[in-house]
Amino acid sequence: MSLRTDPITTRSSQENRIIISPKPYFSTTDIIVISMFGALGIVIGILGNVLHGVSGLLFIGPFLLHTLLPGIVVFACAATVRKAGTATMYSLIVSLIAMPLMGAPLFIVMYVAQGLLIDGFTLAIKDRMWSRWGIIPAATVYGIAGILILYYVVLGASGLVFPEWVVIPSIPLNLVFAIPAALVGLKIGQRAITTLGG
Amino acid sequence: MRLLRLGDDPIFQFVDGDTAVHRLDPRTKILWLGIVTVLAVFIHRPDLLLTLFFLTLVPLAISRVPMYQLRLILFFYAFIFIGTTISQGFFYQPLTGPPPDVLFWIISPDMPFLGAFTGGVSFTLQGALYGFIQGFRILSMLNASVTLVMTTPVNRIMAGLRELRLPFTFMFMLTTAVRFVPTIIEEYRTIANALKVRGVAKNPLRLVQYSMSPLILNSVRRCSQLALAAESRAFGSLADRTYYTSVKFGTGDRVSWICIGISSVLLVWLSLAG
Repeated sequence: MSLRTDPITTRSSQENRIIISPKPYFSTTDIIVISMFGALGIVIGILGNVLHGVSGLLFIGPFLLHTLLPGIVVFACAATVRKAGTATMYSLIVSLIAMPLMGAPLFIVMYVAQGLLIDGFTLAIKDRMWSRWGIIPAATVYGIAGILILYYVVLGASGLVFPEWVVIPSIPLNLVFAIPAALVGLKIGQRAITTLGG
Repeated sequence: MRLLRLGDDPIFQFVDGDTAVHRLDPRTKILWLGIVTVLAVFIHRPDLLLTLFFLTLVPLAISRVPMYQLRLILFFYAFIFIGTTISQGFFYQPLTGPPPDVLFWIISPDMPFLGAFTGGVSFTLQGALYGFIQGFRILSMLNASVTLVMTTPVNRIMAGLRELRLPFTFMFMLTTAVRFVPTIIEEYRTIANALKVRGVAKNPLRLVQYSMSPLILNSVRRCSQLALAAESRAFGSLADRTYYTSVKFGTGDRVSWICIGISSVLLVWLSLAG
């Protein structure tokens, strides 16, 4: 993952205006697009943590707050920039700002692990990732990893224990939220590319 | 940190002041947050968790939290205590020793299917007490986070992270993301108002569903303009940069390091001692 920025280019006409750089490293626009998604992720992360107490009481809470909404944004970000490292950068931005801000630094682990998994998929299946059938396996891993990290790492490190009969049904339930989130994210990413290029 | 407001309810935000904690280098407060997080994860004795909680209250008390922020902190305290007490009241099972005393059952072990699947779900006093104590673990991290956020403006936090040798591009991304937050919130309000006027969004979930796509696309459109502006200012062309905000360690930081060091070593030692 290179953080080198694109050299300054002269854009003489609208036709030459390549916004999302096809180069393997991040262009200035890539960096700013990731930051923008990061801002949205921060807002959603803060909302998620504000409602975190409620999410502990209501069974549906974690799936909505920690999978659906963040999932849409992270997949939209990855599908817009389409470079390995995007999801990790996004996750780092969101977790380093939003999580300590709301007093939940342990969530940094969950965000970064999910970002790394999405980037792993991007590296492994390359451009096939940006299709319905490419993004569904990534969303599946994202959803399973998310719930396991939530129960065993984040809540586990917080001293909270949950029996297996809570964790096991949570996995398919989390996938019910993770897969649509990835598909919506992909759709938004495709539209965003059109918006940037147009 | 005034920009990190959602709706009209303030989230933890920077409160200007001239206390000893305000004057500390942001790196010291970041170090404090890191150490408290590690200690909160590894300490298991209830008395030490309580000690850690009270230790994290000290810088918060020195920083003279205004009443409206104190109310918000207490609101979070209540939420966390209720959440951990209720969830562990239902789910806690001791690894050793006798089974906890059941106060009431919500799923009896005799119940068909669910009873067999879960083994019965009951609310236990030991579980509730265990959850209540674990709440102090989360609150210690919350206190350290709030201390950092409420006593350090964003630009100084960024400067502190920069001095911790984070790559410049990543720092730029963090700064830009923080800068984008109020823009995103403003954009969301505009879209939500438009949807309300059209009678689309009486349901809050529907409101989020319909506003997500235009919100992202409008923001992405803005990104291309910002990228052009950044490139026209030679973004990324110079290896050596100068910064407007600088941070420096002072006597207060050194005193803080000693206090953090002594208290951490004591807590770890007591924790290991049993």
